[in-house]
Amino acid sequence: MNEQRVDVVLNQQQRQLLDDTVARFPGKNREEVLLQALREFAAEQSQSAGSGR
Amino acid sequence: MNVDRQLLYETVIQPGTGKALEVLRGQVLRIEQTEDGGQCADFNCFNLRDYKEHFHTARTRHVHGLRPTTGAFLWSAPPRDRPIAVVVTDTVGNNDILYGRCSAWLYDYQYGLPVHANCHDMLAEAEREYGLTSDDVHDSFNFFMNTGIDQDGRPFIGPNVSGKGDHVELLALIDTLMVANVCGADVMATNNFQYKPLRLAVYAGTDEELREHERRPEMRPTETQRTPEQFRVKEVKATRELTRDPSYVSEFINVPIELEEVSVALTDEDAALLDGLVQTGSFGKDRAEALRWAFHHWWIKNYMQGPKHLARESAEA
Repeated sequence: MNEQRVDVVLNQQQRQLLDDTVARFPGKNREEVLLQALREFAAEQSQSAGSGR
Repeated sequence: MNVDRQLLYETVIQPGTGKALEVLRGQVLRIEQTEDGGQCADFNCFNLRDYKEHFHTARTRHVHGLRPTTGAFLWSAPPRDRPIAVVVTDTVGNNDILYGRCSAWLYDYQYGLPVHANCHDMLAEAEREYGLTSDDVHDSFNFFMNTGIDQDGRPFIGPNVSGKGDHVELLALIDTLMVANVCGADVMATNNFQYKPLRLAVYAGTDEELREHERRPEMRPTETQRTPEQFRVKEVKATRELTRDPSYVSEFINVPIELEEVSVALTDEDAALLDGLVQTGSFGKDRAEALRWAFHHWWIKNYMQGPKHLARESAEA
């Protein structure tokens, strides 16, 4: 597996939202929360596409 | 809520007129159809202790949609931005906060009728009893007005479907001046092309229903709901001409907006998910934008309070 990185540009308010969200998930960090969001959002989109909407 | 209320005051407003009434916190204003019904009531609402705070159609639309009915708050505008009253009864459920109040211009321009009863002038005249000017009339809550938006995004006015005895009841959450008038639209469908009187009645509310609404999460005060004492300019401007303050130094919040990169390691599977989102053309032009989109959408769906305002498909997913 090749390591790939993506650099997400966030302003200080968006970072605040991210950090507040990280605080909801003890033991997780910014990266892990962003990836959780990605996986759940992508699954939701895939489900929507699969249902023909 | 079916409540047997104690009547404090009542009047009937005739076509071409309106009335301003003090409705104190915990009291209820009823606006009621008479005769055959079918009459729209245009409505203003001010903070009785600070008239600069008043009902704000835009925030109310944002939170409750285009046809607010039972349970909907009447919000004031930023910077107060708080519920000032709530609809506790609505026997029709057909109200409008999309259209502006009718005015002299509308009848002059659209109908060639330069002298015509109109809601702006009626509200202004009723509000004059409390020293307000014609400039203080604000966008109206149009009770019993049947409106919608067609497929091309244009608003339309349908027939008024209220009947005799139909009513709305508004519970004041602060001390208010509530102002209602018999809508002046007799040459459009708003009132089925005929004016009818409206009954206005003020009732004592119950502690129970006041508490019921004051317990709602929107009523929880936040630091951003500012009072006049927190304004940089505290006095109401008393002259009409605008002049520049030469000592003005801007103090915008969170400025400068500072961008920073948050670096995220991707597995091949995560990279593929991002590429799939980018390929849809709806979530940004590259992986970084797609990940930002995904995070915010995910956050709104899972944590945002109140209406989420997502595109319909996403909201239903």
